Amino acid sequence: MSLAAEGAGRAGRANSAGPLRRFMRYPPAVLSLAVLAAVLAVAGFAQYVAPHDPFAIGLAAPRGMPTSANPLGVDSIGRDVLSRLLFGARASLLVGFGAVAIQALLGVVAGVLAGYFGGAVDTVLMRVADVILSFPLFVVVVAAVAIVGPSISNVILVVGFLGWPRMARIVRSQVLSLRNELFIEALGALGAGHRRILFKHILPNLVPTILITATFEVARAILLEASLSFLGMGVQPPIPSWGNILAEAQSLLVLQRMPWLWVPAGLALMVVILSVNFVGDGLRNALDPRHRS
Amino acid sequence: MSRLVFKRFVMLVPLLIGVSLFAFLLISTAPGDPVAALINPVDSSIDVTALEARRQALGLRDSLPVRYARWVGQLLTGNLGRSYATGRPVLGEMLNRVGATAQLAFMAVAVGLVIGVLAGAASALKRGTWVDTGITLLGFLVVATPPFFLGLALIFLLSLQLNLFPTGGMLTLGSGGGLGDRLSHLVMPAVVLALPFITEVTRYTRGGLIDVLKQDFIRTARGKGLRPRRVVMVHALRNALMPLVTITALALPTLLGGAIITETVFQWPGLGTLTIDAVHQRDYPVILAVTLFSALTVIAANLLADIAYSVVDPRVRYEP
Repeated sequence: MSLAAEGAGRAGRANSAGPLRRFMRYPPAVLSLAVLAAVLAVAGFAQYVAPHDPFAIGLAAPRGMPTSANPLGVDSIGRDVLSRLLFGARASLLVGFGAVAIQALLGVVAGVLAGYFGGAVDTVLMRVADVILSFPLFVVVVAAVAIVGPSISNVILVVGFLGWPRMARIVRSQVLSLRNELFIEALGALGAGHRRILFKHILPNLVPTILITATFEVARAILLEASLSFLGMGVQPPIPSWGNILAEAQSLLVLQRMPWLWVPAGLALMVVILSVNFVGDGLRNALDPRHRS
Repeated sequence: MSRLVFKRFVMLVPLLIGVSLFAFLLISTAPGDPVAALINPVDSSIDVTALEARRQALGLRDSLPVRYARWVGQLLTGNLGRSYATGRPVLGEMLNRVGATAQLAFMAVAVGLVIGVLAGAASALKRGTWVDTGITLLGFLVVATPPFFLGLALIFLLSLQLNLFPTGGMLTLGSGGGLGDRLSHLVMPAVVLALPFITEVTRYTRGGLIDVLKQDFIRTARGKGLRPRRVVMVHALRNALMPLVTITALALPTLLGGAIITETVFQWPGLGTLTIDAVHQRDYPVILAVTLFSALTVIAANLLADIAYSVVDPRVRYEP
């Protein structure tokens, strides 16, 4: 019921085109991909794009108004907000992709093993997944970060190691239905080993599912990092992150009188999360045959 | 029915053991212990052997399985230990706060259901028009909005600029807190907390209504000349809304996670702010208790969702 599915439904002939063509026919996803590429470039080349050093203190009077030198003003300890905003993209993307890389790796391995071999392996892995899924993700992530200490790498590890069960469940169900397909049964009868069946026939068929699920998880991880950093439990100052830039607005004075200090960071987060979700929507439309109306 | 529910309860036992073990192991990796929490770090005259004796007496030097068994034993009698920060029993601290969070969560559910059903129904009935597209787009936007950013933006716009609602807290201090005063404090945090829930309700209402409207009994209802409004409101919506029972039960735990952020932004004195205060003070007994409580809520909500659905929809027969 996504926009993409509706659009494809109306386009009619869209279903017969290849995945890439189908993706390209959904403008929001294409636009979003361009936005994400731009954000990635800014994050990668922040030191060339940013007008100032994001850590340099005392460039201008603290909490100063926006000027041509500091287009988004100066924060409470005299750092250029625009530069911090540009460097802040790094934290979001690092956590988003880093955490999801761990999630996907663990989730796919667990899901494939559980789905393909079944039996005790399946029972053990899925009971562990059930236990982790019994904790609301945000609550258990906050508790875990409180113990291991807040930092970018710890946030990546915690979100990665606590976030895999959903991927595992989705992959497992997909493997279960693949395993019952005639062609897998035939391969077994022809004497193909587990390794061959898994790597040459099961895994390639899982790629669309993994890609789509991982994309939406990236959006969630970015939101999670921002929330943690906002609470002071994520990326630690002086390293900038959109979440900890927004934390400045917990001062009523900044909130009321200096919207330029916090609104841009919030908008940046919205644009990135929105773009990732649109790309996910486009991927689902392009790759998932059941999703096309 | 009761036998099936009983079986479902029995199946919970291994899950509860797993959950308690996971929470216990997580917290047992934390640095420091209750004895270290009691001493004054600046005071150098403390006798190390006396501390060691205290640790022995409290059983902190016992092996992990022994400590787990003792902890579960205490848990079953309602003893959650004492807060490092205040020295008071954790259970009491939580009971003081749970009411405020429950109030917020129920209001959020109400807000989410009303807005979500209206938006979803509008979207389904005007399918393919700009209304539908607009609501779907708005859903994307809502999902992408960090709740703390929306909270700050609402405080900025509605409290500080327009002076419509208070910026935070549960009631105006010194006013005694009449119903109107409490409600005006509740509106903004409830909307922020309800945010992800609203879009979910909208999606399910839209999808459910579109499916139901295609069915034969709707054609029959139309065919026998019922007014279109009655067909939609009574015959279709009733069936389309059944999945919402499950969605609502399953949303409760997410609301608990969201409460951490929402309560911080609006200084709401509930479990969320208790959690964040505990995290900042490294008050591990409180962190452990809140984490465990949130997991129990999830498990209870899942159970409730299963049972409630089989009650609402007689076609569902629960087979374990």
